[in-house]
Amino acid sequence: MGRHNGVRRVALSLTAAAVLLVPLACGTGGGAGDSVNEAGELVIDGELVADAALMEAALAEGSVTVYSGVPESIEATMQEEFTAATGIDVVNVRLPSGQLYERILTEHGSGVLEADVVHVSDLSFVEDFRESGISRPYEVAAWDKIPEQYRQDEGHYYAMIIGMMGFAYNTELVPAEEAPRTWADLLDPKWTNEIAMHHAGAGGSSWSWALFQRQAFGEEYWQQLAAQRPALYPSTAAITEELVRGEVSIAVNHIGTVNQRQEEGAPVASIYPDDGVTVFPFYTVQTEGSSSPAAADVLQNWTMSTAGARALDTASGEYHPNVDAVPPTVLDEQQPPITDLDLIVADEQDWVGLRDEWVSEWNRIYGYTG
Amino acid sequence: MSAPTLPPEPPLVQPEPEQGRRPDRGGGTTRLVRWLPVTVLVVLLSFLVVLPVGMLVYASFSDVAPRPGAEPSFTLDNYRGLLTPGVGSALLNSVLVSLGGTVAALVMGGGLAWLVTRTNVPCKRLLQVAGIAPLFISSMIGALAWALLSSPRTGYLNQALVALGIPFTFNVYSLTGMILVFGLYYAPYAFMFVQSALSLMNPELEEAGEAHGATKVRVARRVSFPLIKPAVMGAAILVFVLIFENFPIPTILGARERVDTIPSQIYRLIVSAPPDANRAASLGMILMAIMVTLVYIQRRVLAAREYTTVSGKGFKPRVNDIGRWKWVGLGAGLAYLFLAVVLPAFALLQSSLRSHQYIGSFADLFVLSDLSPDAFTSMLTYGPFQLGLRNTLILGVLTAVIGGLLHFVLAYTVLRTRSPGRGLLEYLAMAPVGIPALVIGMGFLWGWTTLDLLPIYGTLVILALAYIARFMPQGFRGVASSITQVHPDLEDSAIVSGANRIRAVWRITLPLIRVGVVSTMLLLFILSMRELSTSIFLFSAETRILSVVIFEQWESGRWPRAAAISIIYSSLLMVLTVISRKWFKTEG
Repeated sequence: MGRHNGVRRVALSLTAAAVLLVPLACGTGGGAGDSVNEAGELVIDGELVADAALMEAALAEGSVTVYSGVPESIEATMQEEFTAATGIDVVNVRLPSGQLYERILTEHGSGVLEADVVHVSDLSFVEDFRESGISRPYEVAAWDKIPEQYRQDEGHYYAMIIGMMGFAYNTELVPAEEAPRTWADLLDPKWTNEIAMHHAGAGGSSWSWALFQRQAFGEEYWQQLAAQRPALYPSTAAITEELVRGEVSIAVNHIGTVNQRQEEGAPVASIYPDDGVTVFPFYTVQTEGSSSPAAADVLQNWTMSTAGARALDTASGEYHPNVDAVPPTVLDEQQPPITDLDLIVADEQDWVGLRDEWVSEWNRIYGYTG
Repeated sequence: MSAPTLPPEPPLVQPEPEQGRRPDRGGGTTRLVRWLPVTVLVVLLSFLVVLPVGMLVYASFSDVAPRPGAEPSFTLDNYRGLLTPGVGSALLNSVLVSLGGTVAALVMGGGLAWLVTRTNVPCKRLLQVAGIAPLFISSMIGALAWALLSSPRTGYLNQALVALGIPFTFNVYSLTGMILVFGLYYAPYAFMFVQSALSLMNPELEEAGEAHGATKVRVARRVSFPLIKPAVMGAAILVFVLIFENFPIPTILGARERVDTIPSQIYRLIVSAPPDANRAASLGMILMAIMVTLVYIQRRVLAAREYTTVSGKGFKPRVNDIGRWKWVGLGAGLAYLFLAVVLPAFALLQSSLRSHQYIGSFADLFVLSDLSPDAFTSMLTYGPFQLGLRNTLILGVLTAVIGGLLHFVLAYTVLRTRSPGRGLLEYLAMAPVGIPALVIGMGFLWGWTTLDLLPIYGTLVILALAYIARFMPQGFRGVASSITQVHPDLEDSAIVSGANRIRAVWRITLPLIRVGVVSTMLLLFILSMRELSTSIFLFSAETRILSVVIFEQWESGRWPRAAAISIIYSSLLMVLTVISRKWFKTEG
């Protein structure tokens, strides 16, 4: 009978689907990682990152969930190293800044915040998290090694990457000697239609350099740069890819992402501008009421340790705030000590207070609807 | 599939409802039995449809995003904030790409449908496949592939033109480029609509025209086209609406030249820092208002179809001999297949096999030593891919099964009972046609987290419910059109012979409409597996789906992975559909 046949087929199909899906549903699991010693402590190159009790609790939790605004390629490299060292899995959810912020507030309000740790490059967001009880203060093992400007007084958040905005160019299209060295060089007519960059409201990094440009060179600099008709993108990665593909020759971009592509063999190189490198820290925050608090503590300790600094170096050749960390290397070349760079750190009050008004103005000048 | 999308039909519940509906044997029917099913369904549909729209309206008049603990105040600022040149140009761009894309889709899809149905073009089976195959490539994947093919400087096609010494560049990062991509990937909708109208047309009318001395062209102009005009118009408005609400294509292709549309602006307002969810909501209201208006016009246009003689049964479409033009037709059909499927597949494969994407010249594409299958092999251990694959399949099955059941109950209640409120049910079931997918996503997020109804946020359930809401018009129409083909007397005979209603439905009606219901379920399965616009707001760490993973990879600049997952994903969709159709015998 056709009907029974049909019903049987539907039933069979559903059973088959269930059988096929079960293996996919199984997690990875596993024991302690490479750097957990016999006493159960996490010790990396002599540095105690987590004691035995914390490690035991963390391994029992098994995994830690991170909501991250850090470029996924960088985050993935670091998290692989963390998992190898500790045996703790990381579930990473990459979200653009605004969506990440909105989602955390919504989930927190509903009591279903899934993130144990948040990585985001926006000071106003992490301050909001602190004020609204979303973040949990924690003193990392390397507390004394982190300069005060890179940690919140009570340990609500830490700078985990000293992100820098500089220039990048496609080495197939631009000879090294012709690449721009200063912000004024970007206004050269030969770069008209050749520049890719963020729009000012894309995130903490883009707002940091937009603020710097205006404060250092005046509002007319925004107008002059807008006249170059730059291509505007919402994410660092999208800019980098357009540069790698040769759709543009120059980018104003997050240096770490460019370094990473360069290490992979892409024809790009980065430049620290002579007249100011904008700094925008990526912050790491632990959440209150997290379901894996011990695993989050271990991740936080590891991120701020010299092991975390080395992983960051491997991932993107970027500077880390830990004073014991050595300057990073890019293509086997050690970068200058951080003290040699002309770093521009925005005034926190300006960074937060001027933002809404100036981003709107920036959007108007660039003819951009943000 | 017999129910590809929204079959162009007038409302099912007519003012004069007697014909074709089961007479209600009132004696044994209590008031409770009459009201209960409809009440349950109305409540259910309210959660699916009214709640998200309500949240959007609320957000658009508030000064903070609707989230638990927020203390919003009433404001009109979100609407005042829309009075900017940026919004104006986005609206204009939206209209332009939708108009252009619709015309392109109709020309490509409608032309192909005509070739396959009404001419003696060779290789019909292949062209039939060409008409449908691009459905397996979601608009996001189409946009990614075309960015690789036709970005102005290093796109593979533009590199080929340079290599051939042809001084021409086709820039896909433009209005024209977007129109082409929309046309290519929405043409299957036009194809299915027009093909269905053409194959249902009674050839006797055309023969009568010719018998009275009219030329073929005159017959086509005076008889054939007027007959299918309502279907074409219906298809045109539907395609227009679908393009109008699409956000992946303008987000991927529009950034370079700042070609914004309303949906791409909504998305950007949500992801920018700081986000402006309230202004996004007010823009969503504008988008919805325009879509509702268009859908209303569509319904009016389709209502006009009643005077035609498309009756649906007993005809074999007349085939015209188009002479040597048939080869031109074949060439055009193959060109479409090439542009919509073959070239994009080539581009994705190229991208997936390269660790970085720089191509110095066209010849570089064929340097085999640059290629490596790493992106594919890494999928074996890439957690988000495996999680995404599992979730995508589960959601496809959930949406198809729960949706199929709901739509059957809905369609049965609307068509075969005299329950009060049937018109309202039908209205609610069809309403999501006018609700942008992004809005459904935002509305579900805000609604289910703010009202704290059930703890489904962060689970696959909220995604499945959102998909069921989003695709309800397609599902409801698909099942309803099957039910209307079965006369109620058959089921009533079973009841007269002693069966109860449920047994009669189970033994008589369901087996008769099995093909239609299973086809609709397959359609829901495919549509939900391709979904991105609603999911982008609702996914969580553990409920990521493949389309979200691809979008994430693109957004993170990982082209090889985005391309590799796109290839696996589209192939999977195709294979599953082919197997399912054979397995469930929904063909022919």
